[in-house]
Amino acid sequence: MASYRLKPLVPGYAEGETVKVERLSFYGEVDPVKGELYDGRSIAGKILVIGRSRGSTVGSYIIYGLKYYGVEPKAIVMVKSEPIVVVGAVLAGIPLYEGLPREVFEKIRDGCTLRVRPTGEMELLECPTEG
Amino acid sequence: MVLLTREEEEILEGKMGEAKARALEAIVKVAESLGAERLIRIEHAHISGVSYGTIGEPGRRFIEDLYLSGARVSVPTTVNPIGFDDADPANTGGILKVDKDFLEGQQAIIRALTGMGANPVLTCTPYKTRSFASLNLKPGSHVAWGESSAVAYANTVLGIWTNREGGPLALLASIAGRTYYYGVHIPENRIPSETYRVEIAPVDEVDAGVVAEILAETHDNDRPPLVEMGLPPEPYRDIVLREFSAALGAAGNISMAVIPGITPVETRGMRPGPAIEIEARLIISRRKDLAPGNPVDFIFLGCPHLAADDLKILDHYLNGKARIPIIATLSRDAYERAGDHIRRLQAKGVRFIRSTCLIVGQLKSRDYSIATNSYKAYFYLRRKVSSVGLLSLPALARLAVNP
Repeated sequence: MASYRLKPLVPGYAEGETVKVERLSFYGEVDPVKGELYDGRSIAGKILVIGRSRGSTVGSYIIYGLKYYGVEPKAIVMVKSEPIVVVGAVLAGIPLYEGLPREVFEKIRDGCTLRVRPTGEMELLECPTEG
Repeated sequence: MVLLTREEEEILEGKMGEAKARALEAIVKVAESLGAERLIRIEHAHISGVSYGTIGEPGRRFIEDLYLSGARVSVPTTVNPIGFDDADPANTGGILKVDKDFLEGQQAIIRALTGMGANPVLTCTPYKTRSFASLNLKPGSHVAWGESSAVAYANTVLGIWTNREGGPLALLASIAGRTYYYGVHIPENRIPSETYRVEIAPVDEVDAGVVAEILAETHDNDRPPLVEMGLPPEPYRDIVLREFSAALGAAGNISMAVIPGITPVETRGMRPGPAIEIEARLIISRRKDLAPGNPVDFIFLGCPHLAADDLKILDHYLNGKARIPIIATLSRDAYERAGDHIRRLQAKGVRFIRSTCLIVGQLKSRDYSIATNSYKAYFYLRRKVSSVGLLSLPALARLAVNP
């Protein structure tokens, strides 16, 4: 088990399974009604791990919409965040963390178990073995 | 801790009404999250996220609740495109759909926004409208804009300072008259960190879109890139700058570039480091990938919205009747100002739709094969339709007449 210190932008406790995406525009690449990424992977009840965000300023409403439809991720963990995501997370009350080290991001795959605490402490509990 | 003025504390205490207090409270919360030390007063707001097609019921409720709670804008405020032609909802260009629920949801959003005092210009290029010009904002003005293409254009071309505000934040900032002091509102953050040199000159709008895509991948710094890029003369130059700005906002999260000779800042002696070369062969090969491969169902122009001057340019390049339909989206303001060109272009087979675009409107079919000059349109439509290809405006005009 490895532990890291992140920056809590919207603090909150969460533990769950990871879904990882390198670059994401919430508008156009996330379906707020189904809680799915453009490639069909579900983010509902997961820990959404993102490298960097991009794209439309409508993204805040999409994050808000995920909560409205009850398909929001348990938390969002990013290498680098930006105000569009922060606003959505604040309005929806979804825990949001940034400052995930790049090398840890590279290690994380879909289906890892990850825990974040309001202090910013993050534990990578386990990852499925490859292959 | 966010340092507040006495007036801001009074707003939070509810002395200017409960709704304004709640709006400012949300902004302070975001300021705290981002570590902003204070707030900054804004002179204008532009609200994105207003199409019922993009924000749906949750967005509609959010905006209606603000209106019903008594919120009112406290600075001049403009509004982004909606999901249909508000002057004539039946005018869909043959490619958009507007059902009853959609119409009802969209009208509720517009009623709430205009009820709060926002100006429904319904365009992603508010800076081209007459009502915006009459505000006479000077370079260095602080504003809160949603609409990522307008943000990049404001900072890069107009010298008007704004972060990429999320749709709801731009609305809350309009009500509160303030936003968080962060990002490009801080002068030091407007100083470029790296120089990029574009090997192609002059670039057209498709080259510029590809350059923006490359910058979105490679430029990983909160400060802007300095982009040495040869531009065509006016009036075509402005099309290139708008498409460049729109692509920056779509492919990445860059809110500003510094272009020598364009960006209203002192750039002499400000060329950071040795230039990173954006090579011609890279741009040319990416352009080839992005060119239309299939027979084209229709051509889409107007992402961002066409300006009145663009219609003159289109009229010039379109030498005959279009055999492939051209769908052109623009503001009511531009449509009214370009009357003569509008009629001539309609006679040549151009279908105009006001106050919406293909990104925020609802497409009738997923099977379209579309050609456009907009990288941004490519970015958002590629997951919605069967194919999107990129060509410059003159090439699209030729394709339309001689498919």
